Amino acid sequence: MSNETFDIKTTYLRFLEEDEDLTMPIAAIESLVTMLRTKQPSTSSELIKLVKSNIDTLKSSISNAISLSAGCDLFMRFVLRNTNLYSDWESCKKNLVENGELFVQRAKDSRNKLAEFGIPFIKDDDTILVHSFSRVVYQLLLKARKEKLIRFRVKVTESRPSGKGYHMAKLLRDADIPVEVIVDNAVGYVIHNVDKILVGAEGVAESGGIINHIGSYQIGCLAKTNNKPFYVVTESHKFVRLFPLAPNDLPTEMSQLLEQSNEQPEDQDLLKTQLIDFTPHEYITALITDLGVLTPSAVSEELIKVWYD
Amino acid sequence: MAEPKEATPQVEAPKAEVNKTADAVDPKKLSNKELKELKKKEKAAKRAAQKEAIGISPEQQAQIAQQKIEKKKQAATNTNLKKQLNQTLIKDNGTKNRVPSLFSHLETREQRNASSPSISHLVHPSILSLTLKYSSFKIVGSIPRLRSMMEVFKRVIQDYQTPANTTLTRHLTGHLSIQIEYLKTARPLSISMGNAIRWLKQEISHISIDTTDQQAKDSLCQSIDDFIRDKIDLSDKLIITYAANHITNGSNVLTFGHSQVLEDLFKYCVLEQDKKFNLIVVDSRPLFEGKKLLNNLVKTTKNGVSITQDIKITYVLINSLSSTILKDVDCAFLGVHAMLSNGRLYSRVGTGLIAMMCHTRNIPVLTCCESIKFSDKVQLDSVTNNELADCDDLIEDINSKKPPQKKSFALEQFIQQCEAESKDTKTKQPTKKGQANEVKEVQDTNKSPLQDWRNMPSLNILNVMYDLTPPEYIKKVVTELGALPPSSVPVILREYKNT
Repeated sequence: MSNETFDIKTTYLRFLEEDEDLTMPIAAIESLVTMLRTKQPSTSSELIKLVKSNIDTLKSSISNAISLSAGCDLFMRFVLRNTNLYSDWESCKKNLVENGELFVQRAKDSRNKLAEFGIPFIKDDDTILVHSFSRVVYQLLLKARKEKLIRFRVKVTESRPSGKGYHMAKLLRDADIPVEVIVDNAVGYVIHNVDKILVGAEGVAESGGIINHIGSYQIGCLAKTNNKPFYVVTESHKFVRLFPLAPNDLPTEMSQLLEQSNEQPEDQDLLKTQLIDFTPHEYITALITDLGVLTPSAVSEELIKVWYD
Repeated sequence: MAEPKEATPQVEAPKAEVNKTADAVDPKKLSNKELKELKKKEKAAKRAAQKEAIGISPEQQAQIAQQKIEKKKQAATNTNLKKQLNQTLIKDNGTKNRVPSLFSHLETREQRNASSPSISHLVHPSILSLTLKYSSFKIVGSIPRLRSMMEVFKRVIQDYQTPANTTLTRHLTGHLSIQIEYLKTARPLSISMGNAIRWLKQEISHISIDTTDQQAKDSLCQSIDDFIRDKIDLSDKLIITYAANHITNGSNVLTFGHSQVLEDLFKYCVLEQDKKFNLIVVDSRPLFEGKKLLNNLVKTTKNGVSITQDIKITYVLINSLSSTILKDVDCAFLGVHAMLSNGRLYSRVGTGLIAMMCHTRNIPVLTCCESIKFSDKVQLDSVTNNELADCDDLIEDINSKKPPQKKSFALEQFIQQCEAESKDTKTKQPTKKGQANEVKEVQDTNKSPLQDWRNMPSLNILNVMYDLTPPEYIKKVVTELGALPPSSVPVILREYKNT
C-alpha cells in the first residue's frame, strides 16, 4: 500500500463503477474508510484533519455533491463521536475502520428494509407513475412484484436530458412488470389515470423537501392539484443538512452530468440545463425510508437526533 | 390597688366641672355620648395602671401599640396583594381605561403598576431601576430584556444574605420570586425571560446544601454568565452564519422593526463578508423600532465610512407596504418574540400582516430565533394572550414623529395630581383672570380634539403589542440548532428540554 498514491476521487469513482447498485453517499463513506485503512494516521487530531481534507477534496472534485456530502458529513460526525470513546488509540482506530465497514453494510441493507415499509403502499391494479431511474424505487417495485405477487402497471417518464427513464423501463420490463414510457410533457395528460406517484431522491433537505432529478417539482405540483399521493422513496443516509428556499438555492453547478448518463444529449443548447431541482415539502405526501414512513416534518427531527445527541 | 381609685376621680373632676359650667339648667344629666366617653377613659386608665404596676412605662405602652398596628398592616401587604391592587391608586378605572371588550381580560398598565408599592421594600435597588427601564421602554426587545435581567440577577444574588434558620437553596428562589413579581409590574415577562427564570430556579435547587453561601453565589453567577454566553452570544453567532447565506450580493431584503440578531446579521454581511445589498426597513407607529435599526446601521462604520455605502436602505411605514415595495424583494427577515409549539410566530404587532403580504407575492419569509425563545405553549389567536400598551401612545402627540417619551408611572401620577391641584386653585381665583384662562382653553382645543378622549363615552382605544403569524406563512426558522420549517418547533422543544 503506497501512501502517496492514494487518491480519494479515483477510489470513489472506482467504487461507483465496480458496483452498479452503489449510491453516492455509501461510495463516499466506503472510500473514506478505505482511506483510513491505507493512511494509518497516528494521532486523533491527525485523523480528523485527514478525514476533513479528504472530504473537502472529494466534495470539490465531484460536481454534484449533494448526496455525496450527506454521506461525508455523516461519516465525519461518526468519527468525531467515536474518537473520544476509547482510551487507547490502537483499538480506537481499529474500531473506527470496523464500524465504518459495518456502517456501509447497514446502509446497503437499508434499501431492503425500506422496501418492506413501502410494500403496503402498492396495491393490486394500481397505476404508478415513476420519475426517472431510482434504485430504491426499482427495488421496491421489484419486491412488490416478485415477493408479494402484486399486479400493477407503471408509467415511467422519459426524463430528459439524461434519458434514464428508458433504463428504468428496461429493468422493470425484465422484471415482468407492465411498463410504459411517457414523455415528460405528458405527465399532465396521464396524471388523472395514475393512482400514486413514486420518486427517489438525491437528497432530502431539512424541511423534508427533496432534491431530485429535474422534473420532479412539476410532477409534485401536478400531483397536488390532482390530489394524487406523491411518495418519496429514499434511504435515511440521504438526509442532508441543507434547506433551500427555492431551486436556485441549490449549491450545484450547471451543465454537469448527474451520474454517468447513457445518452449524451446531441443538442448543444441542452448542455446548460439544470439537472436537479428542489421539491418543497408541501408537495410531498410521505417519505418512505428505512426508519419507517415519515411525514416531511419528521425529517428535521431525525436530523436533529443525529446531530445533537 | 390604691392608685386607680386616685386616678378615676382625677379624670372625673374636670368633666364634672365642665358640665356644671356649661349646663347650668340641668347639671345632673350627662348625654349618652359623654357617658360612654367617660367609661372608656376609666377603662383605659385602669389598664394603664395595671401595666404600670407590672413595670411598663406609658411611653413603652405607646410603642407596643404602634408596633401592633404596623404588624397588622404588614401582614396585609404580604398576604393579599391582589386586594391591595384593587384598592390602590386607580379608583376612576371605569372611565379611564376603556379597551374594546374583546380585550378587556388583558391587564392594563395601570393595573400592573398598582401592585408595585406594596412589595417595593423587599426589592433590590437594581431591580427597581431595571423595572423603570422596562416600563419606560428604555430596554426593548426580548433578548436585550433577557440579558439585562440576567445581569441584574447576578447582582441580586451577590447581595443576597441567607436569613437565619434557612438555607440558600430553599430561600433564594422565594427571594428571586419577589424580585420577579416586581419586575412584572413594568411589563409582562417575555417567553425567553420565563424560560431563563425557570432554568435559574432549577440551577438554584441543584445546589447542594453543604456548599457555603459564597461558593454557591459564585457558582450561580458563573453559570449565569455561561448561560448568557451559550444561549445568546454564541447562538446569535451561529444563527448569523446560517442566515447570512440568504443575503447575496445585490439581493433585496426586507425587515420589520428592530431585532438585535437581525441587526447583527446585516452588519456581519457587510463587515465580514463584504456584501452589498438593498435593505427595506418597514416600521410602524407608535414605537418606531425601525428607526433604531436605521440609527444603528448608519452609525456603524467600515474603514471610517458608514456602512450605508454598501447597504442601500429604504425606510417605509407599514401602511405603505404596497406591492410596489414588495416587487423585487428576495426574502423577508422577521424578528421573533416567541415561537409557539404549534409553529406559530408570536412577534411585534404587524408581523402577521407582513408575512401574509410576502406570502401572496411568493417571497420567502425567514425568521431568526434563538432556541431560548421557543415555548411549549399553544395559542390559536392573538387575543387570548397579548400585552396592552398605553392607550395614550396612540392618542397623544399625533403630530409627533418620535416614539412616545415614557415617564415612570409614579411620575405620571404625581404630575396628574399637581395638575388637578393647580386647576382647583385656578378656578378658585377671582374672575379677573378669567378671560386669559378662556383664551388658553381655546388654544388647547385647537391643539388636539382627542386630548379629552377619556371622557368620550363611545371611544375605545386598543394598543396591542403582539400578534400571531400562522405557520403556513413562514418558510424557515433559523435557530442555532439549524434551520427548520415551523412545523418542527416541537422537535427543538423536546431536544432542548432533555439537555
